Amino acid sequence: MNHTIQRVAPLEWLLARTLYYGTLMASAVVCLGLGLAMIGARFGAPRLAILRDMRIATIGIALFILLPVARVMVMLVAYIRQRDYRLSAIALLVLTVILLGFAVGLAGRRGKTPAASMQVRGKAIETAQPHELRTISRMQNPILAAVACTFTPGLFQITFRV
Amino acid sequence: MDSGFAIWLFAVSLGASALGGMLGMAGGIFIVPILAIFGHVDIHVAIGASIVSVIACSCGGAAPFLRGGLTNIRLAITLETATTLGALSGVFLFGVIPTSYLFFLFAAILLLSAQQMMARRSEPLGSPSVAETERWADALRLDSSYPERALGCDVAYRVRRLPMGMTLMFGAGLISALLGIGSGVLKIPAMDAALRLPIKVSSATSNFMIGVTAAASAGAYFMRGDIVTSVAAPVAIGSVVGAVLGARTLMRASNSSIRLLFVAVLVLLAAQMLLQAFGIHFLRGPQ
Repeated sequence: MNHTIQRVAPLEWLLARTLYYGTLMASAVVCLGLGLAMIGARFGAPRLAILRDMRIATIGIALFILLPVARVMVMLVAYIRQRDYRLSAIALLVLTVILLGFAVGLAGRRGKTPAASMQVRGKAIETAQPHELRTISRMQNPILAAVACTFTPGLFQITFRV
Repeated sequence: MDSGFAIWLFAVSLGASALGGMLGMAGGIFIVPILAIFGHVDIHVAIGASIVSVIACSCGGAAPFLRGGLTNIRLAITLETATTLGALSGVFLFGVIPTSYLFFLFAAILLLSAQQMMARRSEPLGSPSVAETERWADALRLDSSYPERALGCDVAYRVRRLPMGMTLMFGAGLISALLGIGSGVLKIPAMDAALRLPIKVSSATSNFMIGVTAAASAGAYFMRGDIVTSVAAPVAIGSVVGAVLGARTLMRASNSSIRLLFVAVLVLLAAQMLLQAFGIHFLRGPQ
C-alpha cells in the first residue's frame, strides 16, 4: 500500500494541503463571526455592533469563495514551472472565467444592498411592498418584470408567502 | 441576527449534508428545497447560501481523494473550462429567470436524482479497442491510472469523447449556478457515458471540479450582494460538519433501504417544489 502513497505527485499533495488548511481557516473565521454575532444578539448589543460582527462571517464566506481560485492559481504556477504550456493556458482560461464572474457580479451590484432581515424571515417579507420584492426588483427591465408577473400565476403568491 | 434561526439553519444543513455524504452525494440538493419550503427563505437567498456550502464541501472533502491518487487533476482543469463558462451563463440567467421556473427546474433535477439513485451505477464498459486514437485526450495527456485496492495494482484508463463530455459539463455548470447545487446529477452521466471513466476516478474528479465551478457563480453572487451572510454562514458550517460526519459513517450506496428513503425524500421535495411553482402551499413550516 505504501508505494501507492509515495507515488502521488507533489502537485496533488500541495493541492490537498491547500484545500484542507484553506477549508479549516475559512470555517474558523465563519464560526468566529457567527459566535460573535450570536453573543451580540443574546446580550442585546446595539444593532450596529451586530452588523459589524456579521462582517467577520462575511469575510469567512469570501475566503471560502476564494479557496478554489487559489487552487487554480496553484495549478497554473505548477504547470508553468513544468513547462506544460497547454495546461497552463487552460488553467489561465479557467482563472479568467472565474474572475469574469466576479466582475459581472460587481457590475450588477445594486445601489442599495438589501438588508439581510428583509429576505430572511417570512413576516418581514409579507410587509414588504411589491416593488421591493427581490424577484421582481432584480429584473432590470420593467416590461420583462411585468410580463413575468402576468404570465406566471405562481410568482406573486410565492413572493408574498415565502 | 436571530440565534434560533441560525441554529435551525445549522442543524438542517448538518443533517442534509451528513445524509448526502453517506450516499456519496452533496447535500445542496436537499438544502435549497428545505430552506425554501420550511424555512421560508427566498429561493434566491437559499441558492446563494447553498452555493457557498457546495464550495465548502468540495474543498473540505478533496484531500483524501487527491492523496489517494484518484483525482485526475489534468482532466479536472480541462473540464473546468466548460463548467465555469456554464456557471457564468447561469449567472446571467439567474437574474432574469422567473422564480416559478426555478422551482420547476429544481423539481426536474430532484426527480432526475431520484431516478439515478434507483438505477445503480455500474462500471462503464469502454470499448476494448485501445488502438483508436483520442485526439484531445492525447494532446493534453489526460489518460492516467489509479490505484485499485481490490487488485493491489494500478489500473490505467483512457479518457474518451472529450468534446461530448465538455458539452455535458457546460450544462452541469449552468444548472449548478442556477440552482446552487453541485449538480453531480449531470456530471455523473457526462463522466460515465461520454468520458468512460472508472467510477472511483469520476467521483473524485467530479468532487474536485465542483468547487471551482461553484466559485465562478458564487463570486458573482457575492459581489452582487446576493449572498446573505446570516443565512449562508450557518449553512456553510453545518454542511462542512455534516460532510465530515457523513464520510465517517460511510454507508455508501450499498444499503438499499437508505437508498429507498432517499428516493422517497427526493420525490416528496420534488412534488412540493412543483406545488410551490404553481403557488400552492400544503406544508407549512415553523413561522
